Amino acid sequence: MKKVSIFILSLIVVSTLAFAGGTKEVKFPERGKSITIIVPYAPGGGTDAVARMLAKYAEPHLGVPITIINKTGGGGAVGWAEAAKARPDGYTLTMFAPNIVTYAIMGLSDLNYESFESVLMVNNDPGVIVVAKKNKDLDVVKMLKDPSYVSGGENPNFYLLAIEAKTGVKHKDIPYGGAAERIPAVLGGHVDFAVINIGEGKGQVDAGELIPKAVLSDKRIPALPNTPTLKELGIDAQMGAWRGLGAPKGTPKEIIAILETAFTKALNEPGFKEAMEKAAFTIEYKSSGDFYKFMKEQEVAIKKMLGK
Amino acid sequence: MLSNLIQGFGSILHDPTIFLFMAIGVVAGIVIGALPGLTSTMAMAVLLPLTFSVPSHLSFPLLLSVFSGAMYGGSISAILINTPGTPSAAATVFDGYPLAMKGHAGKALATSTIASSMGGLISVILLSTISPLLAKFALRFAAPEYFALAVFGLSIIASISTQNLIKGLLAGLFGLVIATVGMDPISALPRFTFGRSELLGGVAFIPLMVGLFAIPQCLVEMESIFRTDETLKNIKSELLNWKELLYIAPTILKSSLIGAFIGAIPGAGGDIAAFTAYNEAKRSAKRGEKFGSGELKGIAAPESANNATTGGAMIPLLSLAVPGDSNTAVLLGGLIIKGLQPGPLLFTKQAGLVNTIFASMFVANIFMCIIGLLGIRLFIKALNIPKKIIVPVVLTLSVVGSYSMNNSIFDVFVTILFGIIGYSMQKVGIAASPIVLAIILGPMAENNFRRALIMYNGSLAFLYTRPITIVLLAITIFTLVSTLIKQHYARR
Repeated sequence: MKKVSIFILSLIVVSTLAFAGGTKEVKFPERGKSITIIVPYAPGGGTDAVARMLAKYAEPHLGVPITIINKTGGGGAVGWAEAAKARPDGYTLTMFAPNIVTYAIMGLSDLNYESFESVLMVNNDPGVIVVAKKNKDLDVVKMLKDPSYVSGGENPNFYLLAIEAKTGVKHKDIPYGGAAERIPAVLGGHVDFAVINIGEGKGQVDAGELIPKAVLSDKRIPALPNTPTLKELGIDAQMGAWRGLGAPKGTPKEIIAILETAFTKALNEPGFKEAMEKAAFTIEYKSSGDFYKFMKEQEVAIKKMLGK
Repeated sequence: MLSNLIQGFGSILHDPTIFLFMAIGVVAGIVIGALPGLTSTMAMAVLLPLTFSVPSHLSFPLLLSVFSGAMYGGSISAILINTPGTPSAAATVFDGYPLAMKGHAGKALATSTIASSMGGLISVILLSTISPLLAKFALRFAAPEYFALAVFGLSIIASISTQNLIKGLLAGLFGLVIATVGMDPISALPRFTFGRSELLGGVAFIPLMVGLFAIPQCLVEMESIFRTDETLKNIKSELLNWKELLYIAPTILKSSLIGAFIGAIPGAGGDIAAFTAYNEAKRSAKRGEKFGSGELKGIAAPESANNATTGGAMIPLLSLAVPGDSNTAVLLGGLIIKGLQPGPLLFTKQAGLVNTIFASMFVANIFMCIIGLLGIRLFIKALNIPKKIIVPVVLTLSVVGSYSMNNSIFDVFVTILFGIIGYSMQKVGIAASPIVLAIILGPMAENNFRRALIMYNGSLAFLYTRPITIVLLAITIFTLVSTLIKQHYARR
């Protein structure tokens, strides 16, 4: 009898404590657990590299290990589908990339950024217009306004569409599989220009084989301080490959806030900044709310470009 | 430029732990390559995070050893259990398995070991000497050239289908149809994906390969699983003698050059190289050489060619920062994580690392030769394992392998479906290798044909105005005609 009453008493004490603790003191992350980031692209790619650097520098701030799982396929859609199904407890996150906005518009995926909670934006690599060495002295504005120049791109080539929306001039665009195919096409003279991310072509740019002509951003980027933005040259076209973190829909706000704070701290670590700079990735921080707004704007712009 | 290689030796001798890393890498690579469904790309991806914490003069030799070892390891299962461990070993099955069934597994494995290492060594020498030249040549490949190369590759279907041309072409067509599944690369519209995002990138290749080769082989073995004493009786463990070595030497040299060359072209890897080299060895065969029933040259050609692509694929990676195949794509990631930008400047700015890469690839191939030759007696024992043990083991590994490629259960169903298709095909005498060729080359032919049409505003002029394209198409016609004539006379 005594035992039972003690048991009941302790139950009452525990439950009142639990309710009293309802002053929103979330214990996250718990010791002994680990956080998983689902990267929807293959190891060795840009998104994977950013995720791994981010994980390395965020671990000390969260106090738990962070594991990267690569779940590839469908241009990211397979990994995102997996992440969307995960328990919304903050222990499973995913890396966002532009396809989380574009694929839904193109009808290739049922999921988009609205199917997740956004945590923060990490980087944004604006498009860089590059030409081969022999076209070093070409005037980039003239080139973009002359439809006889051929672009090496992909379908849809959002960089080129963004430029064309401003210039009104259509270029012939030969679709390639990715930067690994576009860069040789420019180097070999098979196309006149291509828009790439600087990280993809830095080796060739440093060697003077690829010449960066203009950057599709608001401000000049640290990796190319001497290359003007297209905006400076009078064509205000901006488009980039951006990355950030997302969490399954329904992850509590408090947990998102803890994650946001920890990853923001990681972003400001000198080591992280140095590693990103070395790999030629441009850091661009946006808070959870701003990141969501950013993706919404992207969605509107891309819908317009595709006429949808 | 050969001095780079020598300087590299100097730098790796400074730190003997490199040799330990490389020995581990080679052994791990061989094991992974030999297991159907596990590939070098996957192994390298798993090891990639190491490049964070381990200094690059250790991590890159390790990755490169895995790359070389796995390229060779694929031949072991091709020879012993008629199942290529990697797509690059698919052409090794033709002569490797028949020779093993004749009791000469030792000879078959020795040939593949020596040919693989020689191919690797030759390609490293080419890499360290004429890599800028080859890189420049590779840049001349635009869409029309890639299209012609793919058509040439597809023509190989005719020469590997000597038993029955119609059945070979049927299999090739089936492969082409499978290759259309996925997002149309030119217009970005999904084709035959039935709304599954798993199919947007096409039918995953490794699970499909496992389904077409490993599963049917297991099912066939299962038919006689309870009949005891089915294992081979007189397995001779003798290796190669000098006469045989001299006999295959010219084939190895020629195939290695083919392999290094194809490897240097971005987007064409060990699988295409192996089939091309096999095709060439068969085309230039002398009287009395019986390709398809255990010809040593038929093992030497694909094995030296696929290992020669390891050095070849490094050429565009290091000098153009463009990966030559999926393995070097992972290496590119490793370089980028380290903040090392590949490209022309890598050779001057990071000469030390480049030299280490050259030297460690060289040493990895020598390790591979020693470990491979020592291991043959052990590998052969696989033939003595009773079927009731080996069949379930291979089946389990196949499923695990196809799951682990993309961590996807969908891929396991792909394996099972193609396993059933592969088994039915075997029952009616249709070979699986034309399907593999068609799946690799179909998208390459289609995409580049359409790209070329866009380049030429819809005109077909690219077929007869570009020198490299003309040469490639001429070789294709020559191969087709000579094969058909040979088959015609052979039937008389």
